[in-house]
Amino acid sequence: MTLTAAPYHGEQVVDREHAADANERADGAEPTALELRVRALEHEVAQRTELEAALRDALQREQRARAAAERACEEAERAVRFNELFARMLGHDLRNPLGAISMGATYISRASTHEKITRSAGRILSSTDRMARMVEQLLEFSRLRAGGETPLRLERADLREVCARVKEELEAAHPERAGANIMIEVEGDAVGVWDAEGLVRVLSTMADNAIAHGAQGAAGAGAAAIHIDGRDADRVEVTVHNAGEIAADKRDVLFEPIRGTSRQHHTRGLGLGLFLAQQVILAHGGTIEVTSSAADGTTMRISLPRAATEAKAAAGATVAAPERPVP
Amino acid sequence: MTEARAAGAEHTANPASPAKKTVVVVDDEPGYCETIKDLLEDEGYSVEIATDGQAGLELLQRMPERPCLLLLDLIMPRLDGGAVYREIKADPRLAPIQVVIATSDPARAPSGARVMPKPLKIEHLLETVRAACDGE
Repeated sequence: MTLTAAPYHGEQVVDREHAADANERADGAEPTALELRVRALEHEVAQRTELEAALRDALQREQRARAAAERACEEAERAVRFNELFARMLGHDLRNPLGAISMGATYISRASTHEKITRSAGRILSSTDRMARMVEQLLEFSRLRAGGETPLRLERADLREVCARVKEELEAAHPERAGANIMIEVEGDAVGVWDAEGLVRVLSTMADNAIAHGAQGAAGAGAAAIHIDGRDADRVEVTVHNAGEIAADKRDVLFEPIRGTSRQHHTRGLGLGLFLAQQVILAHGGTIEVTSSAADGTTMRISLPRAATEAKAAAGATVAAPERPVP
Repeated sequence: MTEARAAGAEHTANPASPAKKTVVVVDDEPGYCETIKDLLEDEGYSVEIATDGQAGLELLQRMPERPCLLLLDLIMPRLDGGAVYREIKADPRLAPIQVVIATSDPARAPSGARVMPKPLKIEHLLETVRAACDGE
């Protein structure tokens, strides 16, 4: 702090409240050194008082801002929790009527011999199946967002049967892809301990993407080639290949929820399929990766431990569901 | 209307066809129950329906003969499917009933239970019913 001392003019200070008069005495005499020191200290105290008041104000403002931010955070967290709860409840409540619609459409399709009625029932079925898949994805996503794990129902499973189901379901769900082709090739032993339903979802997502994206720019539908390599005793590798290329800027975010989807080319889902597929593979203790180029097309490569339980135990993770028989 | 109807259960057994094998469907989605009923009746089975767990349990306890199969939903009002399953297994008279849990959330099924994932596939359902009721 700097203080400019005025000349001392006597013993009495007339008006100390005004800076201009502070260093002037009534008799015009120069102030003594002691008076100057006192005035300097008084000035310093006044300044410190002002600073302290300003600091208190700033602290109060900061506390108010912090409290407001905390309230906003709590409200945002409550909103997120509510949204997740709402999504789960909505999902649960939507699944049953959707299932009933789907089953009713299948029944009509079986019972009727009228071509237009069976075609119409087929369209209802296709749409409800697609909607059911989106509800399932939304439910799974909201459960993961709420801190849950991907539940596994581990059992003895044969990837041949898993792939056959994928092929059958995709062909039934997309009759418009009359020319689509899912080729399945198996080497070695395709049996292991996995969540068969989870792997059906994974491979269905990948094969569906492969067909949809492999067809871009070409006439008719694309093709997906699924190759199972079970020659290794401890691991099984599954690749899903198509001739299309994934744009370079999409590859890094391919497994990210919503960001991984290309709205330009793929508008049929929520953009959660590959993210959820990755979660299922990771829950098995497996890995998933993608390579893509114009020359070689796109290959999704899954590597699974032969027995998922052992792999998860080694990784310190938990399996949500015990092994159970399935009818 | 019978007491069971009032409690959410529907009797559809045909007294003129006592030889028909009976399947019980317990599910709180009426559309599911009715479609399964139509489908299985086409296949020659008798079907009884309850639309909540408590009504389903009471229906089973009241039936003079055990059904050949119980299709049981999990999430239901009054008494959920898990509780119904445990009650059945704890009752020596009901314990032999073959139970299949029909659920969209198989991971929540009781341990040891047979599970059929929803949405149900008609062919899968028919195979399961034929296996349970006719030993096919």
